[in-house]
Amino acid sequence: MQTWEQQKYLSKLPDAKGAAYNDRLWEYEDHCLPDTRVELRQKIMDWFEDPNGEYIFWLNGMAGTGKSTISRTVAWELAEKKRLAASFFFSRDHGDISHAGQFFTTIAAQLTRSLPVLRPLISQAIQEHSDIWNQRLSEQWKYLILDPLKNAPAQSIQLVVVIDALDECDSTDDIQMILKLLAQAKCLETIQLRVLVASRPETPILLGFRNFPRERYQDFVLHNIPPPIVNHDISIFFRRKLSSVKSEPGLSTTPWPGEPIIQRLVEKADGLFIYAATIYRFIRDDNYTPEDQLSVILEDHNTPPQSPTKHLDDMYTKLLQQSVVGSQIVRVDDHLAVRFRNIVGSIIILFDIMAAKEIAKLLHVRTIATTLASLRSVLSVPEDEDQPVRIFHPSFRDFLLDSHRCLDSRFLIDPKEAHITLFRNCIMVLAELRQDLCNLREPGVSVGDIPEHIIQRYIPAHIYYACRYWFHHFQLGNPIQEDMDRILRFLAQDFLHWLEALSLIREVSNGVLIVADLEMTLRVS
Amino acid sequence: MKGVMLNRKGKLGVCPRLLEFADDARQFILHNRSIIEMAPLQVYSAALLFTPEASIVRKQYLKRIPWILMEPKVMQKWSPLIQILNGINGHASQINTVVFSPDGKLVASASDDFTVRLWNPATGGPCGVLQRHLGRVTAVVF
Repeated sequence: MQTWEQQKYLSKLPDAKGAAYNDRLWEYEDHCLPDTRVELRQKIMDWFEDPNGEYIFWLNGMAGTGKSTISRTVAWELAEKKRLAASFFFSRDHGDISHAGQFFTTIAAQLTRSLPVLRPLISQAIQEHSDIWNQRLSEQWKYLILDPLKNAPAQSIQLVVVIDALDECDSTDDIQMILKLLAQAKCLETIQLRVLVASRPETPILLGFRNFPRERYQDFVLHNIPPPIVNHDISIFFRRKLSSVKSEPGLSTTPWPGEPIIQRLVEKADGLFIYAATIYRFIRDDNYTPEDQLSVILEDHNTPPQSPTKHLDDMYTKLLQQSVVGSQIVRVDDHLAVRFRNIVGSIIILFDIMAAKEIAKLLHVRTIATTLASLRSVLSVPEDEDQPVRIFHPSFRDFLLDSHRCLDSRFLIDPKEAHITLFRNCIMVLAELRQDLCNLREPGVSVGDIPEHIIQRYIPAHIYYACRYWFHHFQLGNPIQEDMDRILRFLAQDFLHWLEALSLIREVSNGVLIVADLEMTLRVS
Repeated sequence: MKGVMLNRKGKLGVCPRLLEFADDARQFILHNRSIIEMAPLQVYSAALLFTPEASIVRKQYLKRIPWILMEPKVMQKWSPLIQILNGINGHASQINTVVFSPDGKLVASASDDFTVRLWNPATGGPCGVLQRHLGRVTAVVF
């Protein structure tokens, strides 16, 4: 096959947006500081260099123990050594990387770049199995990855696939299937494929590993590292990061904020790196002096009974009280808090990420920039307005949705309320659709003949989102009677416009499933 | 047009009109999936025009299509036939066997056109073509 012909086939491979460790999406994420996590990083390097090492390394850790930062650092180090085969960073709120649908095709696409000898083999596989991306995961794995690696010209080497946050993949069946398939890498002899998996210790993953013989994988439990080692690393982080916040040249020789305070912060962090990283972003906030922010954090609270997340929850609470409402006095009707729940509540349950401008349009508010600006320690809000808003860490979402953890009711998000609000907003967006949205005029125009930029112009992100997800929000919300009226009005006025839009964004099959589920849901409610 | 009635327990009740509409919408999209997938504006012409007389979607939307002078004669009700597996986007010849996968998530059809095609039974959409046979395919099993 000619090179151009290979390229033609390879370009068809679905390549999930945001999956790779170095994707633009992760631009401002931290790497491990030098001198931190030393032992663990060494252990990982030893593992993949060892020709007799296990096939899978499972980095197992609770929320906030630093898994993603380690994965990112290791992926980068492996790439420097030219030993990274591929990386896939799952994230539950991002379309393509919240599910397994494009997992193997993305790994295959990255393999064609990291190991060019595979290009002819993988393009051949695509030619022979047209539509492979619609086939089962086991087929995708076999034809796009396993067979090409088996048949590649001999070159004895161990390469690593880094998979982060596997627990954020939306289907537990798929998680177990992925683990089961990856374990087949054992049969590879010349090019050996090793897999580094980072995840929370959640049941489907525990079960997935339980099916493996012990000699196939090695695991490492982050939350079981002895506290002195973790505390040492966290204190390095605080010392280095905080002294950069406030350097007063010539005034003092001891760096701010001083060792006793650093020790208090380390104690509060209680082994969680996310605590340290969030505090750092909070103290750095330009609208306040670092001393004021620090004193808010250090203030001791009457805290409820002990729980493993007590310190973290306490920190999130203080941070929101300071940044959102500027007070600890609870008044639930506070309009700032209402705005917070509307905007942040939506952001944490959206099925896909969007830029701030697009979220504002979806929520029918003029702008959300002011609310977001006060939340830069927990939300990643890019200067570039076209880049998506993200939450920095899933523990923030967990916190907001849990009434045992988020004790200030002004910030507590009721997911059912948030879903139904989004449903109503989606339905309002769909009511703005009209016949012949793209001004095609000719009824016979085929969807393949419409340029992509035209479709994107007339179906911007918030309309796209509403078309795809209105029903999912309805299903997860707690509808009242008026919501049923909304559905009837939608069917009577906008149904065909919606079908036209689905055709333009090539989501008609999803539409079929939505309408079937809708009928079923109505029948049983 | 009220979508909901409150039943005795104070739970949400769904009015028959909404249920009928949703059911008709489901039939509409299932019967017309492949034409809508190909050409977005056919939603308002081919899909709507050949929809049975009794369809709520038809009654609701047909009056909005200004350029139709004479409607074609169509069936009274939705036909139980939802999809034909040969023709455009399907087999090019006679089909010999159709079989469900054990988990019910896939349908395979074997044809004289030398191929086996896979289908998603929930959406009717194609899931792949096995095309390395060198002759008519007369049987297929999972």
